[in-house]
Amino acid sequence: MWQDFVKAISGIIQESGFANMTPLHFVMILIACVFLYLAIVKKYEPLLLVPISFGMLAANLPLGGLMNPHLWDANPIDYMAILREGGLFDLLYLGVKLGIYPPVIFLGIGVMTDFGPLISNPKSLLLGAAAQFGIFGTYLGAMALGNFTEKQAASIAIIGGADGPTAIWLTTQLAPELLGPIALAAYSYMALVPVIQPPIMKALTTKKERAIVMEQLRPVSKAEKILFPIIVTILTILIIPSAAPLISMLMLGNLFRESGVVGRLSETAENALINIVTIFLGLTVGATASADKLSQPGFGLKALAIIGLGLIAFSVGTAAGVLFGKLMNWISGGKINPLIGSAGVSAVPMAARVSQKVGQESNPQNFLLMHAMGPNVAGVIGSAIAAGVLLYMVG
Amino acid sequence: MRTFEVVLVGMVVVFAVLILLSVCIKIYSAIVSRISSRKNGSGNNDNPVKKNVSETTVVNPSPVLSQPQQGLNPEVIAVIAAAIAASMGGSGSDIKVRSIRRIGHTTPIWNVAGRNEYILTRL
Repeated sequence: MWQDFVKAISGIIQESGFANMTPLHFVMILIACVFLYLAIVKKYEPLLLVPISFGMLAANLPLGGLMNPHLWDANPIDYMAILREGGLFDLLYLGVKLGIYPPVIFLGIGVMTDFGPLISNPKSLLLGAAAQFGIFGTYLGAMALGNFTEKQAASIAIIGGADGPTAIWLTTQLAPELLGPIALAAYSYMALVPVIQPPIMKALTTKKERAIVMEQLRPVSKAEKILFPIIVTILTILIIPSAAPLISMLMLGNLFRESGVVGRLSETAENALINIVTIFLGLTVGATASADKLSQPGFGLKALAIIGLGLIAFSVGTAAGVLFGKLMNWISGGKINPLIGSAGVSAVPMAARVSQKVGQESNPQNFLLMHAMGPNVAGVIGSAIAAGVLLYMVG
Repeated sequence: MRTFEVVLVGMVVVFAVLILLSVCIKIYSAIVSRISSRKNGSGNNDNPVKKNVSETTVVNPSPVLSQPQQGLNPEVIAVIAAAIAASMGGSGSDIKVRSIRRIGHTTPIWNVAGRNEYILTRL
């Protein structure tokens, strides 16, 4: 009787998750808790980091069966097996793997974005392009390190686009095995933009340049705003077809907004739809960071390298934007404040706010926010194009 | 070698596409503004805003209204007049705007700093 009791209890213990925990599981749970702390207490992009880190936490509890990495490691992936045996996160992850969630998020971003400052000052598109040096500079760096393949290097480089959905979209296409660390690095650094950018911006500009007051932007008519998404869609997709999923959805969202005749659709896209998709995306991207991956030889080192390269990507992008801003300032005869160049790294609208803040430290009468929004939204288009180019070149 | 190729092609394409886009925006903006100005030009008589302003000019000849080349358009004058009326209270019908002049900055720097800080918390 007593023996049966002991046997049953020990059986339950052995079947439980505790008995199956490995030290790596503890490490992953600890990392998840650190990110939860950063999200909840420090408020680093909480809307994304809470689902991401909770997904990481839940997927690393053994025997839960929420996510089965071995199903995704099969080459080619057996989607029928995933539908038959996959857990909840496996099924939700299909939306990431098939490239559905990031473009849907771009739809919502398109509704929320006002391209007015960009239309009124089209030159700011150049600043959005210059900041993409961060992406390609990091690609060089990652290839120089030597322990990444071409596809992995391209996925790491896209962190420099400072655009979460773009980074996730490209990584799932090129190097899905690195999705967890890349997404975490991208979103963490986006939250750290107010810390990373100001020292670089101040180091590269003089106080006089930072104090430059820019001419007021001209008002943009409704017709121009409606034509913008249509023209950008046609032009960009004709030139770089591989950027079509991101650009078309972004511009569709913007057309919803500017046309003014589909209020219900734009409201859904910018609220309910983007929130639902963000929950699924965050949860499953976090879940891909599993202990099984960490146990692969060299993965921890790669994750560390990704975190380092991500920082380089952001810094190079910021520096390139500011330097190009200086160049444009010189050409225009002192009419452009170089600080708006740093906003070219996307990270909407955080990077534009940083330009405004740093500008106001030098000249309290200066309002750069709307001027910085031009390069800022141009950065979103620029990084989507860069992602398309990388996909075409190395994919 | 291949790495440099990716970087070079990548940057050139990104720049080329965005430069092309900015040129296109400039062109279509010019076209749109030309079309809209032509429309306004032909429909001058039935434009209620302009009519009102010209009436005001007749009733209250003011130095600013008669010198539109100074950069103050009727909308700005209307906004300034409305703001004065709102802050003084009452219906505003007894106010006459005779002149609008830009004056130097007189707000104490601490007020400006406080205002900026408040704006930043709202950004």
